[in-house]
Amino acid sequence: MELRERLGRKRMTSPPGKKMFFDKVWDVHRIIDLGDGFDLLHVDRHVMHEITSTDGIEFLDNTGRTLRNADLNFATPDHVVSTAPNRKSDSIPQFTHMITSMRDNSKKHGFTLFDLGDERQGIVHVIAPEQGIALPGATLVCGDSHTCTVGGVGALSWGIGTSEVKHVMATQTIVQRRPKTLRISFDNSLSKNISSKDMILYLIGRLGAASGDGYAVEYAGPAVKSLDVEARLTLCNLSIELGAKIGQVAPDDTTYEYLNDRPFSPKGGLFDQAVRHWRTLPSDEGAAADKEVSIDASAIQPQVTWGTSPEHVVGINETIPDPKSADSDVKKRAWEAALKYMDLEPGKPISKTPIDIVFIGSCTNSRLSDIHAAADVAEGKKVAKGVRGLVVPGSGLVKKAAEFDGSAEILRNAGFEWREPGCSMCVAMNDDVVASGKRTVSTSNRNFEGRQGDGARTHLASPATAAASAIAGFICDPRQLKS
Amino acid sequence: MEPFLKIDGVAVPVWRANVDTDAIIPIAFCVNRKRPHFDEGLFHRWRFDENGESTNFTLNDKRYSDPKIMIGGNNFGCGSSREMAVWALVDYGIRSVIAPSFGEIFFNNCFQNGVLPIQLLEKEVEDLVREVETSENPLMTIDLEEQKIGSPAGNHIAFDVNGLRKNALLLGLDPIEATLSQSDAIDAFQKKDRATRPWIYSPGE
Ligand code: SF4
Repeated sequence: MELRERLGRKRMTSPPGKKMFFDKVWDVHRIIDLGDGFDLLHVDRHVMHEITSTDGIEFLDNTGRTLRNADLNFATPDHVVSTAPNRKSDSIPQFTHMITSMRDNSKKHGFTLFDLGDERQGIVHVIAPEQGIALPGATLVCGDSHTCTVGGVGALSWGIGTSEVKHVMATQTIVQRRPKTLRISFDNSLSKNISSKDMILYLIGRLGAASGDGYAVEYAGPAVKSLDVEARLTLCNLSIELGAKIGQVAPDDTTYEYLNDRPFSPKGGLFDQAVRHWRTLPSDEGAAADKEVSIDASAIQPQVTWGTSPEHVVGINETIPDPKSADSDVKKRAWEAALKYMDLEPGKPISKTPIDIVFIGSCTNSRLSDIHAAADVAEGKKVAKGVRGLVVPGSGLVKKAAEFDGSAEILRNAGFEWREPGCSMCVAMNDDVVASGKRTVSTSNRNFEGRQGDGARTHLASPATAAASAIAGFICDPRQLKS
Repeated sequence: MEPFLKIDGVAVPVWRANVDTDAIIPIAFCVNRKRPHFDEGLFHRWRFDENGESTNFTLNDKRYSDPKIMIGGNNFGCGSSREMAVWALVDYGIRSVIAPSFGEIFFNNCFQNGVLPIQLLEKEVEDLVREVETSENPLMTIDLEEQKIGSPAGNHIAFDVNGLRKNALLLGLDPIEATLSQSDAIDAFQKKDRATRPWIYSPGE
């Protein structure tokens, strides 16, 4: 029998009446049980960027259809936009039409657009929670795999393909197979100066990049509870790198405080009513996930990747592993290819590896707290000679806030470029590209071959580690620089 | 969509763990392009070197020309949700991908485009790769109706597929039409839901 489909079948392990957070939210959204494990679900929020929405809109136009619920659809350009100061819609001519057609379509089809020039524009997964579009217990989909990010506010969110985008546009629903649940508890507390980026990289290194396949992940435990919402968004962001479409943190007072008064959050009495509903959502005491994993958060050190999959990760004071120690043939081949591509030698320490570029940005780490973490390390110091440092805030509002509180100035004084919001070097579609053979420490989420440019060599790390490496000129433990 | 019948053709191995959709089709080939031309980008970085010369990647090997089946490593198609990865495979002629496990969004995108992703045990896939790599004619068959793979050496391997998905593939069903025929149920759901979760339907009020 097909393994995946077998995984999809729900194994009832909870006592009767006890439900997991995920199950409660899923059940609220079920319109029709389609059989064979599939449900037709209501989509509360559909968010779009310029790459994956174009075909959907074209489909609507060609078939004479409209958005079923235009009010529940939101869009922003982020992937192809220039991040140069004073950028315009036509700064990169081959993409101009993607930005202008999104503008025309928002008028024609009535969805809300956060356009270039609007301070609310930014990376789709940064602005969805920032604007209060992503809400606890709400389903949110987007034609982008990192939609799992907004599980950080307790949304049930996941990335979809173009065919599904069309389906959502026309019907405001989606056909989905119910995944199993995986609860990952981070026990004990994090050591000082360890971030949620280190937590999730460590987890992926431990469990592997396919381990979340077929599961909806819930991050729980004291070390997660004590994270602020921005750190939770970072944690959930890399769920897809764990192999899971869905990653969530159950909502709590930290979440409600964060969402209160956001532009698209419910207001007044409606907010109170929503909070009353949200409070019923966290997993019942005694409810069990299909699979439970616990991690000792106090053991986590700053993490940095050495290879071309996020599971190729080590603690910053560890050495690059030897393919001979891989536990399967297919893995061994992948490690060998990764080391060749990255031009690294097994057995050598990862720290002190010289670098060319540092990129601080992306939907993983471009929020105000990330900018602060980088500024904390960089304050009063200079980016090493020969290293290019870029900081790309996740939204116009993040940029404005960092300029207001002085962190932007600290970074600029240290020699970092301070740019306009967008995906930038995370996906290297615009002019922000890592040249072939160059090595970068990046706060993004994918170290895949060619992701940041053909032949680019990417090391994923936290904002603090990235900033410390920029200053040192090589991969550097931020704790060393601080003391 | 075209109904999915039997496949009979060349199988090409891409035997590496965690083959991501950025590798299957680089982002530059995802924009400003229409079907059926996404095959130009298929594994572009692995098929060609910096000077545009063909590499010794399996897709460039004459033995595997005009493949209909691809055999991958675990977590095949992980990463970006880009459906262009599946379009690139289809435009190249691939109708089925066999692997020990798949990226979830890719797995789903396959079904949306009439491609059959087949999950087998890692050992079973490894054996198939060995057979394909060593046989004169790396030909295989896939019968969805019977849920059986025929290997180059003539072995038969059974596979499982979800009933709903099998049916949709065999009949070439259009999921949007199917859902639109349920419009009344969607209306009724929204009406009832609006009463209990009014904040969902009027964002920002
Ligand atoms: S920042 Fe990177 S990962 Fe995030 S949405 Fe943009 S391209 Fe995707």
